[in-house]
Amino acid sequence: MEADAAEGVVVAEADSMTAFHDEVGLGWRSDLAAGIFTHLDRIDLLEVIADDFFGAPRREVHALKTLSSEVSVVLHGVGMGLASSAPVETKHLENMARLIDQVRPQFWSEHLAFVRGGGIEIGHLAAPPRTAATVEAAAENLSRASALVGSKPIVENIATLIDPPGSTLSEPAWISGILASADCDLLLDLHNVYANGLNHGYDPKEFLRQVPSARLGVIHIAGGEFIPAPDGHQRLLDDHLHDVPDPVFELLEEAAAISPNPLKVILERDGAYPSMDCLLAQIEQAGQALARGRARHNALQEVLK
Amino acid sequence: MVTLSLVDRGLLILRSSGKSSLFSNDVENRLEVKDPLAIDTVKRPIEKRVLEAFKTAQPISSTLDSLVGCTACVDYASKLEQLGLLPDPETRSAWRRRYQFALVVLLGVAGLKIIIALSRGRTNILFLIILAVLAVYVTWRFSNPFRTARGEEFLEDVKSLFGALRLRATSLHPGGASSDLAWLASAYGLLAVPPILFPHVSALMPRKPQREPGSGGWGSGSSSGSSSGCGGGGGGCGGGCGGGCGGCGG
Repeated sequence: MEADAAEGVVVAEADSMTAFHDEVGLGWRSDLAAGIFTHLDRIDLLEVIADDFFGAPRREVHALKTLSSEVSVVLHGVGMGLASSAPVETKHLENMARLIDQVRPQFWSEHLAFVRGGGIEIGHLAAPPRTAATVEAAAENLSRASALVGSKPIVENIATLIDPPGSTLSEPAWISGILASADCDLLLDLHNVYANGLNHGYDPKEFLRQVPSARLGVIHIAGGEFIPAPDGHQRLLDDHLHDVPDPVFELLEEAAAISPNPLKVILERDGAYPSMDCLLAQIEQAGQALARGRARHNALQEVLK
Repeated sequence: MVTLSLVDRGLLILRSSGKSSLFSNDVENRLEVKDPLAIDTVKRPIEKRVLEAFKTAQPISSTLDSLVGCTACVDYASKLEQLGLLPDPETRSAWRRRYQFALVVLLGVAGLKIIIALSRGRTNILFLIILAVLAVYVTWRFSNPFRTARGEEFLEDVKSLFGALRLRATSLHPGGASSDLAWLASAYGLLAVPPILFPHVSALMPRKPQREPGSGGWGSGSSSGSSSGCGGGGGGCGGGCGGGCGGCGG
Protein backbone atom coordinates (compact mmCIF):
# COMPACT_ATOMS: atom_id res chain seq x y z
CA MET A 1 0.00 0.00 0.00
CA GLU A 2 2.73 2.39 1.04
CA ALA A 3 4.76 1.37 -1.97
CA ASP A 4 1.78 2.11 -4.19
CA ALA A 5 1.35 5.51 -2.59
CA ALA A 6 5.04 6.28 -3.02
CA GLU A 7 4.82 5.21 -6.64
CA GLY A 8 1.81 7.48 -7.03
CA VAL A 9 3.79 10.41 -5.71
CA VAL A 10 6.62 9.68 -8.12
CA VAL A 11 4.19 9.46 -11.02
CA ALA A 12 2.53 12.70 -9.95
CA GLU A 13 5.89 14.43 -9.79
CA ALA A 14 6.84 13.08 -13.18
CA ASP A 15 3.51 14.30 -14.56
CA SER A 16 4.10 17.75 -13.16
CA MET A 17 7.36 17.77 -15.06
CA THR A 18 5.88 16.90 -18.38
CA ALA A 19 2.21 17.72 -18.66
CA PHE A 20 0.97 21.22 -17.96
CA HIS A 21 -2.50 21.06 -19.49
CA ASP A 22 -2.06 24.50 -20.99
CA GLU A 23 -5.06 25.81 -22.89
CA VAL A 24 -5.34 28.23 -25.76
CA GLY A 25 -8.52 30.11 -26.52
CA LEU A 26 -10.02 33.18 -28.06
CA GLY A 27 -11.82 36.31 -26.98
CA TRP A 28 -15.54 35.88 -27.66
CA ARG A 29 -16.81 38.44 -30.12
CA SER A 30 -20.29 38.15 -31.58
CA ASP A 31 -18.84 38.79 -35.04
CA LEU A 32 -16.75 35.65 -34.70
CA ALA A 33 -19.60 33.50 -33.42
CA ALA A 34 -20.01 31.36 -36.54
CA GLY A 35 -16.31 30.61 -36.82
CA ILE A 36 -16.01 29.90 -33.11
CA PHE A 37 -18.97 27.51 -33.04
CA THR A 38 -17.71 25.71 -36.13
CA HIS A 39 -14.24 25.19 -34.64
CA LEU A 40 -14.98 24.56 -30.98
CA ASP A 41 -12.81 21.47 -31.22
CA ARG A 42 -9.78 23.72 -31.73
CA ILE A 43 -10.60 26.34 -29.11
CA ASP A 44 -10.03 25.37 -25.48
CA LEU A 45 -11.69 28.33 -23.86
CA LEU A 46 -13.45 31.60 -24.58
CA GLU A 47 -12.98 34.89 -22.82
CA VAL A 48 -16.12 37.00 -22.62
CA ILE A 49 -16.11 40.72 -21.84
CA ALA A 50 -18.15 40.81 -18.66
CA ASP A 51 -19.11 44.48 -18.94
CA ASP A 52 -21.04 43.74 -22.15
CA PHE A 53 -23.48 41.70 -20.08
CA PHE A 54 -24.00 44.05 -17.16
CA GLY A 55 -27.66 45.01 -17.31
CA ALA A 56 -28.16 42.92 -20.44
CA PRO A 57 -31.57 41.34 -21.06
CA ARG A 58 -32.12 37.98 -19.40
CA ARG A 59 -32.10 36.31 -22.79
CA GLU A 60 -28.52 37.44 -23.50
CA VAL A 61 -27.25 36.22 -20.15
CA HIS A 62 -29.01 32.92 -20.69
CA ALA A 63 -27.31 32.66 -24.09
CA LEU A 64 -23.99 33.22 -22.37
CA LYS A 65 -24.81 30.40 -19.95
CA THR A 66 -25.55 28.17 -22.91
CA LEU A 67 -22.24 29.16 -24.45
CA SER A 68 -20.49 28.23 -21.21
CA SER A 69 -22.11 24.81 -21.35
CA GLU A 70 -20.50 24.23 -24.76
CA VAL A 71 -17.00 25.50 -23.97
CA SER A 72 -15.02 26.77 -20.98
CA VAL A 73 -15.79 30.44 -20.47
CA VAL A 74 -13.85 33.01 -18.49
CA LEU A 75 -15.04 36.54 -17.72
CA HIS A 76 -12.89 39.57 -18.37
CA GLY A 77 -13.73 42.98 -16.94
CA VAL A 78 -12.69 46.26 -18.49
CA GLY A 79 -14.43 48.94 -16.49
CA MET A 80 -13.69 48.32 -12.84
CA GLY A 81 -10.70 50.61 -12.45
CA LEU A 82 -8.90 48.56 -9.82
CA ALA A 83 -5.68 50.56 -9.84
CA SER A 84 -7.33 53.73 -8.73
CA SER A 85 -7.19 55.71 -5.54
CA ALA A 86 -10.98 55.89 -5.71
CA PRO A 87 -12.89 52.83 -4.49
CA VAL A 88 -14.36 50.59 -7.16
CA GLU A 89 -18.06 51.26 -7.64
CA THR A 90 -20.23 48.92 -5.62
CA LYS A 91 -22.75 48.59 -8.45
CA HIS A 92 -20.01 47.44 -10.78
CA LEU A 93 -18.90 44.80 -8.31
CA GLU A 94 -22.48 43.66 -7.77
CA ASN A 95 -22.96 43.32 -11.52
CA MET A 96 -19.83 41.22 -11.74
CA ALA A 97 -20.91 39.07 -8.79
CA ARG A 98 -24.32 38.49 -10.36
CA LEU A 99 -22.84 37.57 -13.73
CA ILE A 100 -20.32 35.21 -12.17
CA ASP A 101 -23.11 33.57 -10.22
CA GLN A 102 -25.11 33.09 -13.41
CA VAL A 103 -22.36 32.02 -15.79
CA ARG A 104 -20.00 30.20 -13.41
CA PRO A 105 -16.81 30.98 -15.33
CA GLN A 106 -13.48 29.29 -14.66
CA PHE A 107 -12.22 32.62 -13.30
CA TRP A 108 -12.61 36.33 -13.79
CA SER A 109 -10.02 38.95 -14.53
CA GLU A 110 -9.64 42.73 -14.55
CA HIS A 111 -7.09 45.35 -15.52
CA LEU A 112 -4.70 47.17 -13.26
CA ALA A 113 -5.83 50.52 -14.58
CA PHE A 114 -7.90 53.52 -13.66
CA VAL A 115 -10.89 54.31 -15.80
CA ARG A 116 -12.62 57.16 -14.03
CA GLY A 117 -11.78 60.15 -11.94
CA GLY A 118 -14.00 62.63 -10.13
CA GLY A 119 -17.04 60.73 -11.33
CA ILE A 120 -16.04 61.06 -14.98
CA GLU A 121 -15.54 57.96 -17.09
CA ILE A 122 -12.47 58.42 -19.25
CA GLY A 123 -13.35 55.52 -21.55
CA HIS A 124 -9.84 54.24 -21.54
CA LEU A 125 -7.62 51.92 -19.53
CA ALA A 126 -5.17 54.45 -18.14
CA ALA A 127 -1.98 53.75 -16.25
CA PRO A 128 -1.80 55.34 -12.78
CA PRO A 129 1.45 56.62 -11.33
CA ARG A 130 3.38 53.57 -10.15
CA THR A 131 3.89 54.39 -6.51
CA ALA A 132 3.53 52.73 -3.14
CA ALA A 133 0.30 54.66 -2.69
CA THR A 134 -1.30 53.20 -5.83
CA VAL A 135 -0.08 49.73 -4.84
CA GLU A 136 -1.91 50.16 -1.58
CA ALA A 137 -5.02 51.59 -3.22
CA ALA A 138 -5.14 48.77 -5.77
CA ALA A 139 -4.72 46.19 -3.02
CA GLU A 140 -7.61 47.77 -1.12
CA ASN A 141 -9.78 47.72 -4.21
CA LEU A 142 -8.87 44.12 -4.86
CA SER A 143 -9.69 43.20 -1.30
CA ARG A 144 -13.08 44.90 -1.62
CA ALA A 145 -13.71 43.29 -4.99
CA SER A 146 -12.87 39.87 -3.61
CA ALA A 147 -15.19 40.38 -0.65
CA LEU A 148 -18.14 41.60 -2.71
CA VAL A 149 -17.77 39.30 -5.72
CA GLY A 150 -16.80 36.27 -3.67
CA SER A 151 -13.62 35.45 -5.54
CA LYS A 152 -10.40 37.22 -6.43
CA PRO A 153 -9.85 38.48 -9.93
CA ILE A 154 -6.75 37.66 -11.90
CA VAL A 155 -5.23 41.04 -12.65
CA GLU A 156 -3.83 42.20 -15.97
CA ASN A 157 -1.03 44.57 -16.88
CA ILE A 158 -2.01 47.29 -19.33
CA ALA A 159 -0.38 48.99 -22.30
CA THR A 160 0.42 52.65 -22.02
CA LEU A 161 1.79 55.04 -24.61
CA ILE A 162 3.17 57.33 -21.93
CA ASP A 163 5.22 56.42 -18.92
CA PRO A 164 2.93 57.50 -16.08
CA PRO A 165 4.31 60.71 -14.60
CA GLY A 166 5.05 60.70 -10.89
CA SER A 167 6.01 57.03 -10.87
CA THR A 168 8.58 55.87 -8.35
CA LEU A 169 8.40 52.15 -9.12
CA SER A 170 9.22 50.18 -12.23
CA GLU A 171 6.25 48.43 -13.84
CA PRO A 172 7.34 44.91 -12.77
CA ALA A 173 7.96 46.11 -9.21
CA TRP A 174 4.58 47.86 -9.13
CA ILE A 175 2.73 44.80 -10.42
CA SER A 176 4.63 42.47 -8.12
CA GLY A 177 3.77 44.73 -5.18
CA ILE A 178 0.07 44.59 -5.95
CA LEU A 179 0.11 40.82 -6.47
CA ALA A 180 1.83 40.32 -3.14
CA SER A 181 -0.33 42.80 -1.22
CA ALA A 182 -3.61 41.48 -2.61
CA ASP A 183 -2.53 37.86 -2.95
CA CYS A 184 -3.77 37.75 -6.53
CA ASP A 185 -2.63 35.94 -9.65
CA LEU A 186 -1.41 37.58 -12.82
CA LEU A 187 -2.89 37.80 -16.29
CA LEU A 188 0.07 38.84 -18.36
CA ASP A 189 -0.76 40.57 -21.62
CA LEU A 190 2.33 39.85 -23.66
CA HIS A 191 1.53 42.37 -26.35
CA ASN A 192 1.23 45.01 -23.67
CA VAL A 193 4.63 43.97 -22.32
CA TYR A 194 6.06 44.02 -25.83
CA ALA A 195 4.51 47.40 -26.69
CA ASN A 196 5.53 49.00 -23.39
CA GLY A 197 9.03 47.59 -23.81
CA LEU A 198 9.35 49.10 -27.27
CA ASN A 199 7.74 52.40 -26.33
CA HIS A 200 9.61 52.90 -23.09
CA GLY A 201 12.88 51.20 -23.89
CA TYR A 202 13.08 48.08 -21.82
CA ASP A 203 13.63 44.43 -22.60
CA PRO A 204 10.30 42.54 -22.49
CA LYS A 205 12.09 39.28 -21.64
CA GLU A 206 13.72 40.95 -18.67
CA PHE A 207 10.25 42.14 -17.64
CA LEU A 208 9.07 38.51 -17.66
CA ARG A 209 11.86 37.53 -15.35
CA GLN A 210 10.97 40.32 -12.91
CA VAL A 211 7.33 39.44 -12.35
CA PRO A 212 6.55 36.48 -10.05
CA SER A 213 6.22 33.52 -12.38
CA ALA A 214 4.50 31.49 -9.67
CA ARG A 215 1.55 33.88 -9.91
CA LEU A 216 1.31 33.71 -13.68
CA GLY A 217 -1.81 31.82 -14.74
CA VAL A 218 -3.28 33.53 -17.76
CA ILE A 219 -1.77 35.17 -20.83
CA HIS A 220 -3.19 37.48 -23.45
CA ILE A 221 -1.71 37.72 -26.92
CA ALA A 222 -2.75 40.30 -29.49
CA GLY A 223 -1.43 42.58 -32.20
CA GLY A 224 -1.11 46.29 -32.76
CA GLU A 225 0.33 48.86 -35.11
CA PHE A 226 2.99 51.51 -35.10
CA ILE A 227 1.77 55.08 -34.94
CA PRO A 228 3.78 58.30 -35.18
CA ALA A 229 4.74 59.89 -31.86
CA PRO A 230 5.03 63.65 -31.31
CA ASP A 231 8.82 63.34 -31.04
CA GLY A 232 9.03 61.98 -34.57
CA HIS A 233 9.58 58.41 -33.46
CA GLN A 234 7.05 55.64 -33.65
CA ARG A 235 5.09 53.97 -30.91
CA LEU A 236 3.41 50.63 -30.88
CA LEU A 237 -0.31 50.94 -30.24
CA ASP A 238 -2.01 47.90 -28.70
CA ASP A 239 -5.16 48.05 -30.83
CA HIS A 240 -6.10 44.36 -31.08
CA LEU A 241 -6.79 44.91 -34.77
CA HIS A 242 -3.74 43.14 -36.13
CA ASP A 243 -2.22 39.69 -36.11
CA VAL A 244 0.02 38.63 -33.24
CA PRO A 245 3.61 39.55 -34.15
CA ASP A 246 6.41 36.99 -33.86
CA PRO A 247 8.10 38.67 -30.86
CA VAL A 248 4.92 38.08 -28.85
CA PHE A 249 5.04 34.38 -29.65
CA GLU A 250 8.70 34.43 -28.55
CA LEU A 251 7.60 36.01 -25.28
CA LEU A 252 4.95 33.33 -24.93
CA GLU A 253 7.61 30.65 -25.29
CA GLU A 254 9.65 32.47 -22.67
CA ALA A 255 6.67 32.66 -20.30
CA ALA A 256 5.98 28.95 -20.74
CA ALA A 257 9.62 28.23 -20.01
CA ILE A 258 9.56 30.02 -16.68
CA SER A 259 6.02 29.42 -15.44
CA PRO A 260 5.45 26.48 -13.12
CA ASN A 261 1.67 26.72 -13.60
CA PRO A 262 -0.69 25.50 -16.31
CA LEU A 263 -1.25 28.51 -18.56
CA LYS A 264 -4.41 29.69 -20.23
CA VAL A 265 -3.65 31.74 -23.30
CA ILE A 266 -6.27 33.97 -24.90
CA LEU A 267 -5.95 35.48 -28.35
CA GLU A 268 -7.60 38.91 -28.35
CA ARG A 269 -9.00 40.39 -31.51
CA ASP A 270 -11.38 43.34 -31.41
CA GLY A 271 -12.00 44.15 -35.05
CA ALA A 272 -10.70 44.07 -38.64
CA TYR A 273 -11.39 40.38 -38.33
CA PRO A 274 -9.37 38.11 -40.56
CA SER A 275 -10.65 34.72 -41.66
CA MET A 276 -11.26 32.17 -38.95
CA ASP A 277 -8.47 30.09 -40.46
CA CYS A 278 -6.08 32.96 -39.77
CA LEU A 279 -7.18 33.18 -36.13
CA LEU A 280 -6.97 29.43 -35.74
CA ALA A 281 -3.46 29.51 -37.21
CA GLN A 282 -2.48 32.02 -34.50
CA ILE A 283 -4.04 29.79 -31.85
CA GLU A 284 -2.03 26.93 -33.29
CA GLN A 285 1.13 29.05 -33.25
CA ALA A 286 0.48 29.89 -29.61
CA GLY A 287 0.17 26.18 -28.83
CA GLN A 288 3.49 25.54 -30.53
CA ALA A 289 5.17 28.37 -28.63
CA LEU A 290 3.82 26.94 -25.38
CA ALA A 291 5.12 23.49 -26.31
CA ARG A 292 8.59 24.89 -27.04
CA GLY A 293 8.60 26.77 -23.76
CA ARG A 294 7.44 23.74 -21.83
CA ALA A 295 10.15 21.62 -23.41
CA ARG A 296 12.71 24.14 -22.21
CA HIS A 297 11.09 24.21 -18.78
CA ASN A 298 11.26 20.42 -18.49
CA ALA A 299 14.82 20.31 -19.77
CA LEU A 300 15.83 22.82 -17.12
CA GLN A 301 14.03 20.84 -14.42
CA GLU A 302 15.91 17.73 -15.52
CA VAL A 303 19.19 19.56 -15.21
CA LEU A 304 18.28 20.90 -11.79
CA LYS A 305 17.28 17.46 -10.45
CA MET B 1 -29.82 23.97 -44.61
CA VAL B 2 -27.46 21.25 -45.71
CA THR B 3 -28.26 21.93 -49.34
CA LEU B 4 -27.66 25.64 -48.85
CA SER B 5 -24.29 24.96 -47.29
CA LEU B 6 -23.33 22.58 -50.10
CA VAL B 7 -24.31 25.16 -52.71
CA ASP B 8 -22.33 27.84 -50.91
CA ARG B 9 -19.30 25.59 -50.76
CA GLY B 10 -19.55 24.93 -54.47
CA LEU B 11 -20.31 21.23 -54.15
CA LEU B 12 -23.73 21.78 -55.69
CA ILE B 13 -24.26 24.18 -58.55
CA LEU B 14 -27.43 25.80 -59.74
CA ARG B 15 -28.43 25.19 -63.35
CA SER B 16 -30.83 28.02 -64.02
CA SER B 17 -33.80 27.75 -66.37
CA GLY B 18 -32.58 30.98 -67.91
CA LYS B 19 -35.10 33.10 -66.08
CA SER B 20 -34.07 35.60 -63.48
CA SER B 21 -32.18 33.92 -60.70
CA LEU B 22 -34.35 35.77 -58.22
CA PHE B 23 -37.12 33.41 -59.27
CA SER B 24 -34.98 30.37 -58.89
CA ASN B 25 -37.71 28.26 -57.37
CA ASP B 26 -38.81 27.79 -60.94
CA VAL B 27 -39.43 24.11 -61.55
CA GLU B 28 -36.96 24.07 -64.43
CA ASN B 29 -34.06 25.00 -62.17
CA ARG B 30 -31.78 22.19 -61.17
CA LEU B 31 -29.12 21.71 -58.57
CA GLU B 32 -26.36 19.46 -59.77
CA VAL B 33 -23.40 17.85 -58.12
CA LYS B 34 -20.38 19.70 -59.42
CA ASP B 35 -17.98 16.82 -58.99
CA PRO B 36 -19.33 13.35 -58.15
CA LEU B 37 -15.93 12.43 -56.72
CA ALA B 38 -16.38 15.15 -54.10
CA ILE B 39 -19.17 13.08 -52.51
CA ASP B 40 -16.54 10.89 -50.92
CA THR B 41 -14.71 13.88 -49.51
CA VAL B 42 -17.54 15.24 -47.36
CA LYS B 43 -17.51 13.94 -43.82
CA ARG B 44 -21.07 14.19 -42.63
CA PRO B 45 -23.44 11.39 -43.65
CA ILE B 46 -26.27 13.86 -44.16
CA GLU B 47 -24.18 15.88 -46.62
CA LYS B 48 -23.17 12.73 -48.45
CA ARG B 49 -26.81 11.69 -48.72
CA VAL B 50 -27.93 15.07 -50.05
CA LEU B 51 -25.16 15.06 -52.66
CA GLU B 52 -26.17 11.53 -53.68
CA ALA B 53 -29.76 12.68 -54.08
CA PHE B 54 -28.78 15.56 -56.34
CA LYS B 55 -26.93 13.22 -58.69
CA THR B 56 -30.31 12.47 -60.23
CA ALA B 57 -31.39 15.26 -62.55
CA GLN B 58 -34.81 16.43 -61.44
CA PRO B 59 -36.42 19.61 -60.11
CA ILE B 60 -35.04 20.75 -56.79
CA SER B 61 -38.34 20.23 -55.01
CA SER B 62 -38.52 16.62 -56.19
CA THR B 63 -35.02 15.93 -54.91
CA LEU B 64 -35.80 17.49 -51.57
CA ASP B 65 -38.99 15.44 -51.38
CA SER B 66 -37.02 12.29 -52.14
CA LEU B 67 -34.94 12.94 -49.04
CA VAL B 68 -37.95 12.76 -46.76
CA GLY B 69 -37.26 10.16 -44.09
CA CYS B 70 -33.78 9.37 -45.36
CA THR B 71 -31.63 7.46 -42.88
CA ALA B 72 -29.07 10.23 -42.55
CA CYS B 73 -31.82 12.77 -41.88
CA VAL B 74 -33.50 10.54 -39.31
CA ASP B 75 -30.13 9.91 -37.65
CA TYR B 76 -29.58 13.65 -37.45
CA ALA B 77 -33.02 14.18 -35.98
CA SER B 78 -32.34 11.38 -33.51
CA LYS B 79 -29.23 13.19 -32.32
CA LEU B 80 -31.32 16.29 -31.71
CA GLU B 81 -33.84 14.15 -29.86
CA GLN B 82 -31.10 12.69 -27.69
CA LEU B 83 -30.00 16.21 -26.84
CA GLY B 84 -33.56 16.98 -25.83
CA LEU B 85 -33.96 19.65 -28.48
CA LEU B 86 -36.58 17.80 -30.50
CA PRO B 87 -39.24 15.63 -28.87
CA ASP B 88 -38.43 11.93 -28.80
CA PRO B 89 -41.20 9.33 -29.15
CA GLU B 90 -41.62 9.18 -25.37
CA THR B 91 -42.04 12.94 -25.11
CA ARG B 92 -44.47 12.99 -28.00
CA SER B 93 -46.42 10.20 -26.39
CA ALA B 94 -46.59 12.19 -23.13
CA TRP B 95 -47.74 15.24 -25.07
CA ARG B 96 -50.38 13.13 -26.79
CA ARG B 97 -51.69 11.83 -23.47
CA ARG B 98 -51.85 15.37 -22.13
CA TYR B 99 -53.67 16.46 -25.25
CA GLN B 100 -56.15 13.60 -24.96
CA PHE B 101 -56.81 14.48 -21.33
CA ALA B 102 -57.33 18.13 -22.21
CA LEU B 103 -59.61 17.06 -25.04
CA VAL B 104 -61.74 14.95 -22.73
CA VAL B 105 -62.04 17.82 -20.25
CA LEU B 106 -62.82 20.39 -22.95
CA LEU B 107 -65.34 18.29 -24.80
CA GLY B 108 -66.81 17.03 -21.54
CA VAL B 109 -67.42 20.57 -20.28
CA ALA B 110 -68.72 21.68 -23.67
CA GLY B 111 -71.02 18.65 -23.90
CA LEU B 112 -72.27 19.19 -20.38
CA LYS B 113 -73.03 22.84 -21.07
CA ILE B 114 -74.85 21.92 -24.27
CA ILE B 115 -76.93 19.32 -22.43
CA ILE B 116 -77.78 21.83 -19.69
CA ALA B 117 -78.67 24.46 -22.28
CA LEU B 118 -80.88 22.07 -24.25
CA SER B 119 -82.53 20.76 -21.07
CA ARG B 120 -83.47 24.33 -20.24
CA GLY B 121 -84.97 24.75 -23.66
CA ARG B 122 -82.26 26.97 -25.06
CA THR B 123 -81.05 26.25 -28.56
CA ASN B 124 -78.58 29.13 -29.04
CA ILE B 125 -75.59 26.85 -28.62
CA LEU B 126 -73.75 27.66 -31.86
CA PHE B 127 -71.36 30.07 -30.14
CA LEU B 128 -70.58 27.41 -27.54
CA ILE B 129 -69.85 24.89 -30.27
CA ILE B 130 -67.57 27.34 -32.09
CA LEU B 131 -65.75 28.07 -28.84
CA ALA B 132 -65.33 24.35 -28.16
CA VAL B 133 -63.91 23.73 -31.65
CA LEU B 134 -61.56 26.69 -31.25
CA ALA B 135 -60.41 25.47 -27.87
CA VAL B 136 -59.74 22.00 -29.27
CA TYR B 137 -57.73 23.52 -32.13
CA VAL B 138 -55.68 25.76 -29.81
CA THR B 139 -55.02 22.83 -27.48
CA TRP B 140 -53.89 20.70 -30.42
CA ARG B 141 -51.57 23.46 -31.64
CA PHE B 142 -49.94 23.93 -28.27
CA SER B 143 -49.70 20.25 -27.44
CA ASN B 144 -47.67 19.38 -30.50
CA PRO B 145 -44.82 21.87 -30.86
CA PHE B 146 -42.03 21.20 -33.31
CA ARG B 147 -39.28 21.61 -30.74
CA THR B 148 -39.10 20.90 -27.06
CA ALA B 149 -38.99 23.80 -24.61
CA ARG B 150 -35.26 23.13 -24.34
CA GLY B 151 -34.95 23.25 -28.11
CA GLU B 152 -36.82 26.57 -28.25
CA GLU B 153 -34.61 27.94 -25.50
CA PHE B 154 -31.44 26.78 -27.21
CA LEU B 155 -32.53 28.31 -30.49
CA GLU B 156 -33.26 31.63 -28.78
CA ASP B 157 -29.80 31.48 -27.19
CA VAL B 158 -28.19 30.80 -30.55
CA LYS B 159 -30.09 33.72 -32.06
CA SER B 160 -28.85 35.92 -29.27
CA LEU B 161 -25.24 34.80 -29.73
CA PHE B 162 -25.42 35.27 -33.49
CA GLY B 163 -27.04 38.70 -33.38
CA ALA B 164 -24.05 40.37 -35.01
CA LEU B 165 -24.11 37.87 -37.84
CA ARG B 166 -27.67 38.78 -38.68
CA LEU B 167 -26.82 42.47 -38.69
CA ARG B 168 -24.14 41.92 -41.30
CA ALA B 169 -26.11 39.36 -43.31
CA THR B 170 -26.12 41.60 -46.36
CA SER B 171 -22.34 41.83 -46.34
CA LEU B 172 -21.69 38.09 -46.25
CA HIS B 173 -19.66 36.75 -49.12
CA PRO B 174 -20.95 33.80 -51.08
CA GLY B 175 -18.43 31.07 -51.68
CA GLY B 176 -18.22 29.05 -48.50
CA ALA B 177 -15.04 30.70 -47.26
CA SER B 178 -16.62 30.84 -43.84
CA SER B 179 -19.45 29.08 -42.06
CA ASP B 180 -21.32 32.37 -41.59
CA LEU B 181 -24.05 31.59 -44.10
CA ALA B 182 -24.77 28.15 -42.65
CA TRP B 183 -25.03 29.56 -39.15
CA LEU B 184 -27.15 32.50 -40.25
CA ALA B 185 -29.65 30.15 -41.85
CA SER B 186 -29.46 27.74 -38.92
CA ALA B 187 -30.22 30.38 -36.35
CA TYR B 188 -32.65 32.60 -38.22
CA GLY B 189 -34.00 30.45 -41.02
CA LEU B 190 -33.59 30.64 -44.75
CA LEU B 191 -35.59 33.86 -44.93
CA ALA B 192 -32.72 35.64 -43.19
CA VAL B 193 -30.40 34.78 -46.06
CA PRO B 194 -30.29 37.71 -48.48
CA PRO B 195 -31.55 36.44 -51.87
CA ILE B 196 -29.59 39.15 -53.67
CA LEU B 197 -26.35 37.58 -52.48
CA PHE B 198 -27.55 33.99 -52.50
CA PRO B 199 -30.10 33.71 -55.32
CA HIS B 200 -30.44 29.97 -54.91
CA VAL B 201 -31.90 30.30 -51.43
CA SER B 202 -35.50 30.71 -52.55
CA ALA B 203 -35.36 27.34 -54.28
CA LEU B 204 -34.62 25.69 -50.96
CA MET B 205 -37.54 27.10 -48.99
CA PRO B 206 -39.66 24.35 -47.49
CA ARG B 207 -43.11 24.19 -48.95
CA LYS B 208 -44.98 22.70 -46.01
CA PRO B 209 -44.25 20.96 -42.75
CA GLN B 210 -43.19 17.41 -43.42
CA ARG B 211 -43.54 16.00 -39.99
CA GLU B 212 -46.43 13.72 -39.37
CA PRO B 213 -47.73 14.60 -35.95
CA GLY B 214 -47.48 11.74 -33.58
CA SER B 215 -45.81 9.50 -36.08
CA GLY B 216 -42.64 9.29 -34.06
CA GLY B 217 -40.55 9.95 -37.09
CA TRP B 218 -39.36 12.91 -39.04
CA GLY B 219 -40.25 13.35 -42.64
CA SER B 220 -37.34 15.54 -43.24
CA GLY B 221 -36.26 17.13 -46.40
CA SER B 222 -32.71 18.30 -46.46
CA SER B 223 -33.93 21.81 -46.79
CA SER B 224 -35.24 22.75 -43.45
CA GLY B 225 -35.88 26.11 -42.00
CA SER B 226 -38.79 28.38 -41.73
CA SER B 227 -38.87 31.99 -40.83
CA SER B 228 -38.14 30.97 -37.29
CA GLY B 229 -35.13 28.95 -38.31
CA CYS B 230 -33.75 25.81 -36.78
CA GLY B 231 -35.33 23.17 -38.81
CA GLY B 232 -38.50 25.18 -39.04
CA GLY B 233 -41.47 23.36 -40.33
CA GLY B 234 -39.55 21.46 -42.89
CA GLY B 235 -38.00 18.84 -40.73
CA GLY B 236 -35.14 18.81 -38.38
CA CYS B 237 -32.22 18.16 -40.65
CA GLY B 238 -29.38 20.56 -40.60
CA GLY B 239 -31.02 22.88 -38.17
CA GLY B 240 -28.83 24.77 -35.83
CA CYS B 241 -30.81 23.85 -32.78
CA GLY B 242 -28.70 20.99 -31.68
CA GLY B 243 -25.31 19.51 -31.72
CA GLY B 244 -23.98 22.00 -34.17
CA CYS B 245 -24.88 22.82 -37.67
CA GLY B 246 -25.35 20.16 -40.21
CA GLY B 247 -23.86 22.09 -42.99
CA CYS B 248 -20.79 23.81 -41.61
CA GLY B 249 -17.24 23.08 -42.39
CA GLY B 250 -16.68 19.75 -43.87
